[in-house]
Amino acid sequence: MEILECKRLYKYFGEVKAVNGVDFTLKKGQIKALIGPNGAGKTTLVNLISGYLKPDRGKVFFNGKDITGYPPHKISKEGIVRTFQVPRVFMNLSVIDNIRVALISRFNKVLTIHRSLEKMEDITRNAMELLDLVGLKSKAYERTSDLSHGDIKLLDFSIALALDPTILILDEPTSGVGVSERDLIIKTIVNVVRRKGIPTLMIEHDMEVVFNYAEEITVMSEGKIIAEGKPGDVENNPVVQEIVLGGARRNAPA
Amino acid sequence: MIAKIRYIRHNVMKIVLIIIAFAVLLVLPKILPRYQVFLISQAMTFAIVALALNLLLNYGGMVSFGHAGFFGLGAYVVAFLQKYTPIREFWIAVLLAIIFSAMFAAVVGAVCTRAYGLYLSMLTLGFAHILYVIMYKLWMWTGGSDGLPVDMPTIFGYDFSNVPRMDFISNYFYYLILALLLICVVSLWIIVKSPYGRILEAIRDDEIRCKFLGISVSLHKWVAFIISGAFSGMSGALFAFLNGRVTPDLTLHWSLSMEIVFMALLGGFKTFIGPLVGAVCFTYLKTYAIATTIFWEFILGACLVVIILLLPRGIVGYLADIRTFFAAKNYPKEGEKHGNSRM
Repeated sequence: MEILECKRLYKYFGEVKAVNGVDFTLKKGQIKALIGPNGAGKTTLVNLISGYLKPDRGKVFFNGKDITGYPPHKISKEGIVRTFQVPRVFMNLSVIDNIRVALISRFNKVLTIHRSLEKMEDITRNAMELLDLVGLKSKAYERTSDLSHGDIKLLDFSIALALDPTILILDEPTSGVGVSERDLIIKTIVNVVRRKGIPTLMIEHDMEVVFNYAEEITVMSEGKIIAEGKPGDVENNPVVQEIVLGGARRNAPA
Repeated sequence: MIAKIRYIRHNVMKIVLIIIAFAVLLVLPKILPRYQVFLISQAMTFAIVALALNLLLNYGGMVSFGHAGFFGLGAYVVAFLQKYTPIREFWIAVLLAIIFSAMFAAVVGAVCTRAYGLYLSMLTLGFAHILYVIMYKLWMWTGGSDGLPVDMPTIFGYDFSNVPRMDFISNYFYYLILALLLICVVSLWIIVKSPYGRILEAIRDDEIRCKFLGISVSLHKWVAFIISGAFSGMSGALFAFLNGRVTPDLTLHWSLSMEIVFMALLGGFKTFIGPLVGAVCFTYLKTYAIATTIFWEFILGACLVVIILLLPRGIVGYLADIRTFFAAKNYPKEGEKHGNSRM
């Protein structure tokens, strides 16, 4: 059953046809990867879904509800939560406060000015549980700017997780980290997402990650979807091999 | 866990220091000459507006060059109330000053929070200057550049109008300002430690992420403007009673806005208490610079350059640096096992 459905989405930036008539769906409990060369329109598509950009034409349906053109804060309240290619965390706050900010928003306490945040036990407990989930509990009271890049990536993910999302959209969760950290990050993310059954859309450049973890793959190029399906089918598609895989996996055993 | 205990202990230390400081301030009028008491009263009045500014500057990441507007409006509300109504009660005047300044801040904030960085600062400057020009040009109602006199108020029904101003200040008004400053410090402290305050800091760090966390960023900033404006208005009202006269140049001129930012910088705007320390230091610096030379603005300018180059974190920030410097001397001894000091 489709939880997210995009119908004929268009977004042009002048002459550039960033998203050019895309039909896209995400099913319940599914981990889907969105791949394609640079400039294929992957991030623009995610920006259209998450409300950062408004589509020129087309509709976005979430749980059957038309959410086209909603501002970002309304869309995240609906349950579509995203992360960013370059991690957006609150560098001057402590690690736990990063999570708390998301929890305050989730529990609708944003305009509470008379109570001390430190004394809100439920928020602190929830935040600690989330940090434990991604292995950052021991660093809870450190300044975020002191963390390593890999830890910041994990923190970015756990901030999104703190909103209790219905759908997660991860924009390159492993970009800019080394191989050993990459495996740790993607395993942590996939474990959490599978256990909670959150449908996840993941933009990813690392083909090893994509083919190991995604249940379905969508391939974009020049604003259009050129292939979609199970990892095995996509891998053997000659067009995809030409454009995305660049022959690297052509001779590899399927 | 140790980190958490250290964090709590750190806060308790701060509160103890604040209480000691207030205890000292409580006995000062008994031992100091009256002029000094007046100066401290003035410093405490400006401390309120500097702390209010810092809610926007440090916690909200918005540089306001228009806080003289909120301050001056509060002062003028007091003067208008005395000129056009028979009301003399201090608390009514202060309450009205707070309400009007908060309303003005709501208008200013609604416009300014749509802009960013320098544009926001210039808009705040513009709004404050509009108010300045109104008070300056509509002399038939506002007294123009001469401003309006402010008489001694009635406090809780007790009439002070026959008491000489200096007696009134050193025997009564000083304590009133001290109490109100304490209330302001505590309430601003509660606000910055509340969920609202933490979200404000998050917005300062990354506005876009906040939007994607379901936070209405412009509403949040707007509320910060109103809170800051309300406290600034109260500060202005106190200044009106303290000074005995309200003029556009004293309370609304853009140079006062800059002085308020200067106070925050001098004390260290990255700390909560910095602007308070800055306001006290600035008041003394300015008073003695004026008394010493006609080139007093040169002295202030030179100080600003020195602070920005040598003490960018301000006086309080510098003191905190010294403490960290000594605390960091706890290296593991030779041969001792290197543990994770953060645990």
